[in-house]
Amino acid sequence: MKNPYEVLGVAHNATEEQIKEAYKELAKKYHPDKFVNNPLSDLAAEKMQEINWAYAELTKNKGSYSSSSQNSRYANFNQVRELINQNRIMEAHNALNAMAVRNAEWHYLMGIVMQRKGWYDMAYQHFTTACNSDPYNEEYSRAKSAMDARRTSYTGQSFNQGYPVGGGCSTCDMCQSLICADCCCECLGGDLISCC
Amino acid sequence: MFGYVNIYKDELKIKDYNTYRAYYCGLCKMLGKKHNQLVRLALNYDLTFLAVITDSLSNEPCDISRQGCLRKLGKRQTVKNAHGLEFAADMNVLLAYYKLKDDIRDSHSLKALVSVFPFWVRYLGIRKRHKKICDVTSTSLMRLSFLEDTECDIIDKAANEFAVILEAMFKEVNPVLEKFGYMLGRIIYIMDALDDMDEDYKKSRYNPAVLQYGYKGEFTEEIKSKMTDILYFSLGELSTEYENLDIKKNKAIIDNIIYLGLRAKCDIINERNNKK
Repeated sequence: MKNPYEVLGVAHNATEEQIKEAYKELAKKYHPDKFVNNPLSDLAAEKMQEINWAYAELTKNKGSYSSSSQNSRYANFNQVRELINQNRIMEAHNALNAMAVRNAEWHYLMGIVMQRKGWYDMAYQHFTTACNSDPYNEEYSRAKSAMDARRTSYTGQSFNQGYPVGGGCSTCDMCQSLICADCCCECLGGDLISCC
Repeated sequence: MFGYVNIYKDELKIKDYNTYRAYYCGLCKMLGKKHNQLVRLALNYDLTFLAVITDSLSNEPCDISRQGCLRKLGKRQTVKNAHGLEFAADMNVLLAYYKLKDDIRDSHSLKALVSVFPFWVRYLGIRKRHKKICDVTSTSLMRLSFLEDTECDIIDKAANEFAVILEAMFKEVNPVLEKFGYMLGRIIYIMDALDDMDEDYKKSRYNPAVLQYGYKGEFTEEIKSKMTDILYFSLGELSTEYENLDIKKNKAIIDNIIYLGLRAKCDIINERNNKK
């Protein structure tokens, strides 16, 4: 996660004026108006959100920008769940991004959105955060466990197909082990392998 | 980008290995026949996999016969007339062309500049035959460029752009392969990014893994653990998609690649990085 200074490309000891200048430069570059009917428009919009967030953090002036407010009418999680059920994943993603409150449920729903998009690393991170914030919630634990299960299932299948785990066991390993076992046995008065 | 999708030879039966090699030789022949002799140099196992899986969805037996080979001097078992080979040959040239363009743009490689011409001449025809895939590919590469310029530090986000390219390719083969193609593209990108972490960091080249993990030249336990996680989760999800497919032939080869080959490659990447 980048810090706001990195996002705006300013030093940690930058003045307010420098921060403002940097913000203006970046806002000019990534303003949505420059990306109308452009395949990069969604990426540019996300970048703009990031720049706005960074500027707000550094100036602690939350009134100086408006978030992508066309989606803020989806104010609650139930509506987001509905969007997910209808497979309207992009809208669900935008709705979650527009929310200010980022609690366990937010992370869980974001995890579901990420999972549907195939962004499994992010999905797992969100599920983990949701479970850590609300450890007794079964819905969140189930989602996280399901991902763990698919990973375990894969390594299990791989092992069944012959993937050598722990370096495998060669004939040399077996012979070595038998000789050692025989020596130990003889020290204790027995004899495992009579010809050695 | 290339070289991650391959078999785990030790656990493949000889008859299956021979079939796999026959596809590889078949793809080489097809590149020469359909395109030109120079693009055969871009032959790789990743696109051989595309040919194998394309063919695997049909019950038609493989047409394998002995054909001459210039490189190995002699005759080798080669797959002929497989539907998958023509498409794989086109995609091989397409991806190699884009890779060379990328090298010219990013590292101003003279070698790439000299090599690109035979690919470019064939690209023009491929563009006509597979306009949708070419459009998706050029858009995705443009988006990847944007993410590079804006120093995107989310691996999933960058991987997505490469994944949609393979998604489009596999969808063209058969719509049932769409999601599988996406997962495969994703994992290839991630493996490539993780593999190049140290080198990209030292050469100040863009790498989303370096940014996401805050890599500063040392593979800490935390970073190593996260790398294993992302690789193995992606493998798990890929295999879930794979299990939904109805594979009619060459299943042993594909199983080997999915459950053993890819995993072995992931472990090599982890071990290589652990030694640094």
